[in-house]
Amino acid sequence: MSLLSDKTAIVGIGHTEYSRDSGRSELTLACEAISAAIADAGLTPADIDGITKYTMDNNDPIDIARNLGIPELRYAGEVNYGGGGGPVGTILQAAMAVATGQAKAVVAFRAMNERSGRGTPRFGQASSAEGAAGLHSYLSPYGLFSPAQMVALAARRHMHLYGTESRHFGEIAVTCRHHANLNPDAMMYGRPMTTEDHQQSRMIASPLHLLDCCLETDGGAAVVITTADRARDMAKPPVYISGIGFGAGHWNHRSIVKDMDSVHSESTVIAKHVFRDAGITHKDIDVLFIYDHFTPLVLMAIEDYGFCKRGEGKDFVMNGRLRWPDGELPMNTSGGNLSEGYMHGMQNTIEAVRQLRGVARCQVKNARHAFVSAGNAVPTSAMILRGSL
Amino acid sequence: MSTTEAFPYPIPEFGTEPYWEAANRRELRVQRCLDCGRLRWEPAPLCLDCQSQKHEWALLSGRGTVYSFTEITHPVHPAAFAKVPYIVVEVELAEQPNLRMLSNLLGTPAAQLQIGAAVEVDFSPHPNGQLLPVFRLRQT
Repeated sequence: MSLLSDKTAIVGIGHTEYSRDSGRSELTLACEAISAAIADAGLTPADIDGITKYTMDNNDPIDIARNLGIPELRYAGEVNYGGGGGPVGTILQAAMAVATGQAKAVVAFRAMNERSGRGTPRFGQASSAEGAAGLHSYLSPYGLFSPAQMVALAARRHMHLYGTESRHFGEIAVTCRHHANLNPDAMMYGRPMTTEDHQQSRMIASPLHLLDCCLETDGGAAVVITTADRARDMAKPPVYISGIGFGAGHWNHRSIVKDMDSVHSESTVIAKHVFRDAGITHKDIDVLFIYDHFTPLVLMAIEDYGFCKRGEGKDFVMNGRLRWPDGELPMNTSGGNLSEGYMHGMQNTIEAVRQLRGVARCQVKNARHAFVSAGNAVPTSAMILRGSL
Repeated sequence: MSTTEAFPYPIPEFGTEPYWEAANRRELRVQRCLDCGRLRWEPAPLCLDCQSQKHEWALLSGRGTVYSFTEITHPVHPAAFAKVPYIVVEVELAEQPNLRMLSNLLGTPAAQLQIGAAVEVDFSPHPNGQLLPVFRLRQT
């Protein structure tokens, strides 16, 4: 147990539509998503006194507070490596703020025009600077720019060490697409994908195919966090934060290619703590939300969070285990970054809350515990949520 | 030089100029800790193992093995359109286990490349004149 175990809860969720071109500003998207989350909790902006954001988000908390009419902002924080580390890290900060009394109710959000490029540069494209400094001075001259290219190196190493094949990565993409096709809000709704489609999709950086890579999306997504005591009086059933943590280590710093030969990773650091803090084991998890930037990293995260051993991911993800409704551990049940929309994982956090409220489209029966991770291969975060139904 | 013609050139950081100056002499040099003897890439201000600030720039054999590689076929930079496909390689250098660096593998198509293959360093000019350490399969 930690001081935070079950002391805080997610009480509101909200998001905009997920699109290729939102047609409005990133501040507008943030305000819409946050307003929806506040209303979902049965609160008004006057009840909110804290905002946590991703470092990469262009919106400034004070602009949001001014526009939404938040009268007193008592906490504003931001989470680095977010990016992918944000969808849980922002909630960790919010939980600490409300648990310590620094704030009463905090909004964590992500809003961006990443697909249209209006405000946020597309992450799959390189900057046009003529020179590269810092770490990039050792990468960019060789044409190594994008996350997909770096993940490709780790993916091939995993294949070499453990016999993992592209079709195992493909199963993750196909699973997320299956769920997206049951979710009319998903960007890839109505666009089914087969394993054959995955295998035939063009190579981006071998062994990564196009369909191993997440979407690019315009939109906004937000959640409201408050104390467990206050949560009981809100409009919707509380979803308690039972265990939550951040993780990183030396293997994250030596280079930006995930070190497959280390038995440790950011995920193993977190796994040690969150299950203990939540007082449960992996067997108690009913629904899984693994940050799905690239399919090989999903497989590696499943291994490193301890749902199976390192090297066993290739068998673990097969045979429909992760697929709703019949799989024993449905994953990313609204489609994930891969097929619902790339809100830097915040859409997975929102869907986890829906599952534990019992209102998801692909509802897992009697879902009580959800495991939610932020993006791995960089310093990251993860949490275990517990429903109150 | 137009940005559409070349990948970015390296801007040396304070203290890492010797790495690039060595490359211009067709030498692969990395930092060796003067306290514990560990080699490190990429250059860093402290030894990652013993935190010593003292180092020398050790000349390496330039030999190693392919630890991993990717053939990049989707161009994400304007200069990449004329270069795809190209191979980014992670090389494990011969002098020390887990001493790895990133570079390009030249002269061999990806289909003929395997993890574990023996490679050795070569030097390839960036259009701005800086020689970049690159790798080729080692002739046996």
